[in-house]
Amino acid sequence: MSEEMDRKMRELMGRMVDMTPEAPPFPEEMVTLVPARHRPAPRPALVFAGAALLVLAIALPLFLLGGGTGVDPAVTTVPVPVPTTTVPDTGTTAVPELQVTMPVVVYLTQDPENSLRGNPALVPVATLGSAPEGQPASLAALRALLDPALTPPPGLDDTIPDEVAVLGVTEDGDTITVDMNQAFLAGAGSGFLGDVTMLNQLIYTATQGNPEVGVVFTVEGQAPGPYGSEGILLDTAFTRDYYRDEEINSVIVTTPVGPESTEISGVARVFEATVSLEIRDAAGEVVGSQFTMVTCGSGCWGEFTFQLDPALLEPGGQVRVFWNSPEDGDPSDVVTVPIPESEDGLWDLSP
Amino acid sequence: MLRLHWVALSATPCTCDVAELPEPVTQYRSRLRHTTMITVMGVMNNEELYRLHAIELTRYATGLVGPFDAADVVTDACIKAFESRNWHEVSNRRAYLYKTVLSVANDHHRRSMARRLREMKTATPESMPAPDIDVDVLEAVNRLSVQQRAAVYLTYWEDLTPQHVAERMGVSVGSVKRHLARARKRLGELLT
Repeated sequence: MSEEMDRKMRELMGRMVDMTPEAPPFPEEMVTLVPARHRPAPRPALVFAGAALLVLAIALPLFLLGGGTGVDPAVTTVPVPVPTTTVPDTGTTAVPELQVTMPVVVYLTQDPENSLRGNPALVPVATLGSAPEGQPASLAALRALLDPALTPPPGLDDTIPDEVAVLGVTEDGDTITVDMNQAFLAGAGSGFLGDVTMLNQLIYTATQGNPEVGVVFTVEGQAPGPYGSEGILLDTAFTRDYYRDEEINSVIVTTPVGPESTEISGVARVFEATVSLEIRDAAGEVVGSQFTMVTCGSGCWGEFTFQLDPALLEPGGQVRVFWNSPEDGDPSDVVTVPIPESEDGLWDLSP
Repeated sequence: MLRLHWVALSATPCTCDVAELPEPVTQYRSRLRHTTMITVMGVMNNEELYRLHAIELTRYATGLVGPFDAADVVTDACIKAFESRNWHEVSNRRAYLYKTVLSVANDHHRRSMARRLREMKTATPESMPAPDIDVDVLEAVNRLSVQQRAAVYLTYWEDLTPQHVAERMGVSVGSVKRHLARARKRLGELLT
């Protein structure tokens, strides 16, 4: 029976492969061996040498021709050996920092299903991050979130441009100071809501160890200038609830889900303080559902927690948290948390 | 001839297993008998690498998302891989490309395969699918998640062991076995 099934599976795949189209051509955008934004900076000495050669190559003929008479520098073509930008900087004198790798939570985004206000949802995802020994875990989390190669799991998104980077994190009682690079000030590049969502991603990720504290942003160690498309002033400590009422989905999940999870929690501001949960398997079929009360009624934010049965959590499946519309009972503002393949519940966010 | 070079393990750390290398490299295996590990990092450019693997990746993508979108998935996956910050540190680029195709296919299939099938069912005679499109097979495969399709393809088409399927997919061996068991169950009624 098993051999017969194997034979049929093999035949099925064979018929599937028979439909394979021609391989696509090598696209033009792939020609660059090293993408511009990741290209290592040229070594200063080589740049200087290249520039000196260039000046010499242009100036020498001009000098020999008597001050350049009759020579148009604009059309002078001199084969100058320009230093390549792909030369690796070996940096043999630097002492490598000891990096500590740890599980962290990063907050990605999602367009919630049946959203009443059209605000994006935040979705927590567990992954591995690293930071130099002695540095706070929030730095490792922010580094993981801001890794340009970050590839969100299916159904999730990321508003933060690749150029944005975190330079350092210091934790001091009630605040976490997050030092960003200059690219941060440009925001998400998709308008006010995108800018705020990017801030929320950073704030929620930075405060995962202590959700009550505020985040103070600096840029290269200085007080930041106006942020984003509308010049938001970053002159305060931003807590998780700062941009919660108008710019985020009414259900916020704050615990990631893995195949072994036993609990999922968050905050919500929903009708009659009731949130529902649905577990779907990898094929999208509902395998479990429940509802619970939020700690605060309509018009205010309250906390919720669901107990999960890990037996229902299939890798590749989903946990959906939502509230039911008073009009038709339909799930509204649905947050869909994907379940990773790994048994430890960590996502590999590399491509 | 492909411009392939190799460096012995003693000269360059972080290499890939000879068994994982594509044929154009392994045909020089006899010259590598003094070392079991080599590297091709940085010596084969993206275009050469693409030409080497495009056909097998397209075949794999067809197993994951069907024939209509396979080329798009391969193109998107390769761009994504080549643009990755880690690309130049990847030791086994073929495996990395396979994982990226799976990742892109995961995002892609939700909206695509089912929609294509719906379109076919409502197609007018003029817009019927090409004769080489096997609708029954697509409908059967559509019952599986992308992860299950990957496990089935790599197991039954590429004849890889669960260990190698797990490495190719970037998941545990246990996950591969679960995917295969669920795939067999889902397809059981259809195929028996």
